[in-house]
Amino acid sequence: MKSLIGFVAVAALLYAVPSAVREPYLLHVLVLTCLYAIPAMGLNLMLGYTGLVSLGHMAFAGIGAYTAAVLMVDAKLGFWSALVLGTLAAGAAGGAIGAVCLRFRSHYFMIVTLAFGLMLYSVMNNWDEVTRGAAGFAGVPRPAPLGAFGFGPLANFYHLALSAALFAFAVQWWVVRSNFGRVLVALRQDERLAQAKGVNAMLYKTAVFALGSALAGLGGVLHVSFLRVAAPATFNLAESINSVLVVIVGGAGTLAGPALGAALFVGLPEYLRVAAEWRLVLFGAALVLITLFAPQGLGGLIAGGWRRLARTRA
Amino acid sequence: MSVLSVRALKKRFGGVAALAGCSFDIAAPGIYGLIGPNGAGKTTLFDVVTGIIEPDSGQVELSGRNITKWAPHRLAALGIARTFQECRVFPEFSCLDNLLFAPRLSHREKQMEAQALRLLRMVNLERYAEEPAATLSFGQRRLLEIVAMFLSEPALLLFDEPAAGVNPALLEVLAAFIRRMYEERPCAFLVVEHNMEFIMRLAAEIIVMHQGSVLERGAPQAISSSARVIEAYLG
Repeated sequence: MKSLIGFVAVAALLYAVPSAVREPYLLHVLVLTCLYAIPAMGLNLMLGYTGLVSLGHMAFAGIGAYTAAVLMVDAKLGFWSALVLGTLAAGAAGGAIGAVCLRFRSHYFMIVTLAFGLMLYSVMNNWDEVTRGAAGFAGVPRPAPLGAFGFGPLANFYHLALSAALFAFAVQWWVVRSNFGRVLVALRQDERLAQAKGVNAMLYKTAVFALGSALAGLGGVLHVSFLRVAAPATFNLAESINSVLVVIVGGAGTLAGPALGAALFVGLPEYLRVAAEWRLVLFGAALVLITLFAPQGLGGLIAGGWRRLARTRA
Repeated sequence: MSVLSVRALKKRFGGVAALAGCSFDIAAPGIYGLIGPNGAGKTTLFDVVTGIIEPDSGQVELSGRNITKWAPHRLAALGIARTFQECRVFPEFSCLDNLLFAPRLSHREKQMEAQALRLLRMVNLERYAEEPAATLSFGQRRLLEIVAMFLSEPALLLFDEPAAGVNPALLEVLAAFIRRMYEERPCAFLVVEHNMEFIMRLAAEIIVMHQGSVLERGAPQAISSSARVIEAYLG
């Protein structure tokens, strides 16, 4: 109950940001933070809760994004149906490709996901007739207005991106509290034991791969709609690795981790205008420190501090 | 109809025949000891029966049903429970959750809680019910792993070296617990063990494996004086 109140309070605060802040650049940064946080929340379910480190995660965001782009531009479908179909396409691709990748374990699994990520990137980069290739898929529309509420103004798009991020957060929350989530956590701890207790490991892992990929797809569709162009570089290997970093630095296996990681990795450097090259150096250092001293990431650090504080007060 | 029936199981790992036509029946409920020198194929047999590895040939039947090459989770659903030689528990789950974790229990977890606490009390782990399993000593983790088999009311229980690494005091608790559980719900217990004193006192019948098949079976006294068994052990 307490956590629900906290969640609503934080959400209300975030919704109120545009009325307090008039600086468009800050809103732009906040939108990007949301757009990175959504796929990271999907990856968190896989990596943080189930222990599946995928190095091709953003390729599934790309599947969602390009599906929606083709549907909107070539098939003239409306934004909202394209958003749903793009998300579902990413989830379906995640289920199908996941079922193959999950035949492998630990580092073999990572390598196979990396290979699929590279393959999907190649398709996006070279299938000129459909994806427009390396030049990028221009003319992706902004979301269609909902009644009088259009998504052209930055503040309004921010509200949309924030709602999607809160939705992804709620999905995480629901999963973690459900029996499904408990099985995932059991699989991360000891897959063989979980199987001996009656868990169909392949089924659960494929399901979480599909769910995580669907969330990636949701983020991908919103991302290209925000930039108004789909480019393969948004979904390449480097971005997939960034997503892993966002989850680990933010706190793998904590609910707030991906959002914190996205704020720190995308939001803060963007706002402080740190050059992209330096960003990776700083993040590499942060990653080493975090794996050494705070294996649960920022989210774990904050939760731990909170518990200590509560104890000293009690 | 036998509870468990193993027919001519064969499994090779490279040049080593871990199982070389292993056959036996467990016809009636009881506590059965499964002994044999290292490399006799005991753990391989467990892994085949629980679906972790597939045999090259042969057949496994549970209550007359052919279950050869079934996946582990289906066998668990059918009522096969096991412990592992290396002792496996969920380290992050509390002791109570370690007992309650099983998909076939999830819909009536609340009712099972009292039963779970009773089982923990029987092995003096009740005060650790809410503690993560990682905080337990090795011997206590063994007990927890064993206790966690019983909530789902299995038909066949496979223990892989339950006494290994458990100190003598806990060993008494463990033996008493296993006996008590058998009295409460008599079904088939198959116990692999190297601790002869422990298994000879616990089991009503001993099956001896040697070089991938059954060498001899009988009452504990008969087995401990069998010339063939002594020869197999002394090589």
